[in-house]
Amino acid sequence: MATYIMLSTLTDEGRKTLKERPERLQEVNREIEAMGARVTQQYAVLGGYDFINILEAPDNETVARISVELGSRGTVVLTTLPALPVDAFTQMLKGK
Amino acid sequence: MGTYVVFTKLTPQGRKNLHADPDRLRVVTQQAEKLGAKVVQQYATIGQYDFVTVIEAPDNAAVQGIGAEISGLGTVKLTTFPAIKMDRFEQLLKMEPYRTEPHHWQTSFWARAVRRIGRQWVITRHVNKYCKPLTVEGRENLKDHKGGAIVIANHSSHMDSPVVLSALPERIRGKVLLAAAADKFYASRRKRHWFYSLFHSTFPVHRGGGVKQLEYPMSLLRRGWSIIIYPEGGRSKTGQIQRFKAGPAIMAMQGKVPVIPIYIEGLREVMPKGQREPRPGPVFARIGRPVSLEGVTSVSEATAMLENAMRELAGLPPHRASAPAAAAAAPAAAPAQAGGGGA
Repeated sequence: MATYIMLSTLTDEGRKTLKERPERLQEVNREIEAMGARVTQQYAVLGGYDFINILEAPDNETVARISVELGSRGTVVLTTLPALPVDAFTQMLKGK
Repeated sequence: MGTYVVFTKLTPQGRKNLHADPDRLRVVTQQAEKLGAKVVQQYATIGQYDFVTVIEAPDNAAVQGIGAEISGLGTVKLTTFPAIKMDRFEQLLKMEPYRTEPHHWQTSFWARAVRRIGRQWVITRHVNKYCKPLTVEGRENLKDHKGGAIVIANHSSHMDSPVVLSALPERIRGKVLLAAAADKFYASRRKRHWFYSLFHSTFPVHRGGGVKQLEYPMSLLRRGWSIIIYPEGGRSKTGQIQRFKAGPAIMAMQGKVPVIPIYIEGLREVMPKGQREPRPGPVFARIGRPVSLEGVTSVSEATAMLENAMRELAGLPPHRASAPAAAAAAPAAAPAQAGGGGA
C-alpha cells in the first residue's frame, strides 16, 4: 500500500451539506474504503484547506478514481500528493 | 496540546543540503522536538510541497516560534495549518449554540430570597422523594469554616447537585453557586436559562476551560460566595472517581479559599447517567475537612491533594505521587486547561 495526502477544500454546496448533515463525513470515509483505499488520519484545518486526509491506497489509479468520484459531486475540490514516509525517503536518498 | 499540519517546501539551499546529507531531515525533526513540538507523522510528497508533517505543540504561539526558528535556517519555507482531529470536529459541528454569560442578578438580594423560598419545591422535594434516606456525615468539619470556599464533589448523577445543596449548612448554601456545563444547561434551544440561574443556583461554564472561564467564579469568591464544582468534569459512567481537572485547584489558589470535599454515595443506584426516572434508595453525603492550599505552589500538586482528599473520603488509597493527569496540567499549561466544571 502507498500513502497519499489528500487536501480537500469544500465548495459552497459542500459547506451546506456539512452543516445540515455532519455525519456525512463518516459516510465519505466508508465510500473511500469501498473503492479500495483507507483513510488513516483525518484533520479539519484552518487555512487554505478545509481537511487534510492521509490515505493508504494500492496505486495512483485507485486514488484517481476516488478523486473523480468524490469530485464529481461538486461538494469538494481535492488536491492529492503522493507521499512516502520520511524514513523510507531518507533511505532512498542514501541510495540503499 | 494542539495538532498542526506543516507543509514544507525546500529552498534551493535546502535541496543542496539534503542531497549532501540525507540525515539533515532527522536533525530538523530533533530540533523541532527540542523546541517543544512532537512530530507525529512525516511524509515526503510529490506535488506543490516536498514534505507534509503532522506535529503536536502546546499552542499557536509555540508553533510560530518553532516555525521562525526552523525557517530562519534558510533551507525551508513552511506553511502551517492548525488542525482539529476529525472526531472532535464532528462533535463541534453537532454542538448547539449556548449562553456563556451568567445572569448577574442571581446574586442579588431578591434572587437569594426567591431561591430560598423556591428551594422546598425545586430541590428538597426531590431529595426527600428519592433519597430514602439522605444521610449527611461530617457537618461538624465545617464548624470553624467562614467565608467563601470551593466545594468539590464526585459526579455520577444529575441528582448530585440537589444532594450537595441539601448537605451544605445554610450559611454556605445561602451564598453558593454551581458551575454547570453551558452546552447542556444553557443551550439556546432551552428556554428556561433564568430558571436554572435562579432556582438551581447554576452559572454557565464552557467545557474545556480557558482563562476567561475563571472571571465570574473569581468575582464570586471575592464577594464571599462559594462555588460548587465537579472536578472530574462530566458525570462518571462507571461510578469510579475519575482524574481531576485543574480548574478547581487554580480557583482555590487564586481566590485564597479552602476546598471542601464532599463524597456522595448511593446516587449511582438512584439515578445513574443515562437514566431519566430515579429509583428511590439510600444516599450518603460525607463532608470532609476543608483543604487549605495555602503555601502550595504548583497546580498539579494542589490538584493531587484535592484528589487524595476525595479518595480518602471514599475510603480509597491515595494516588501515588502526582500522577500523569495532574502532571500534564503543570503551571505553564495551566491557564489553558483551567475550568473543568460542568454538571
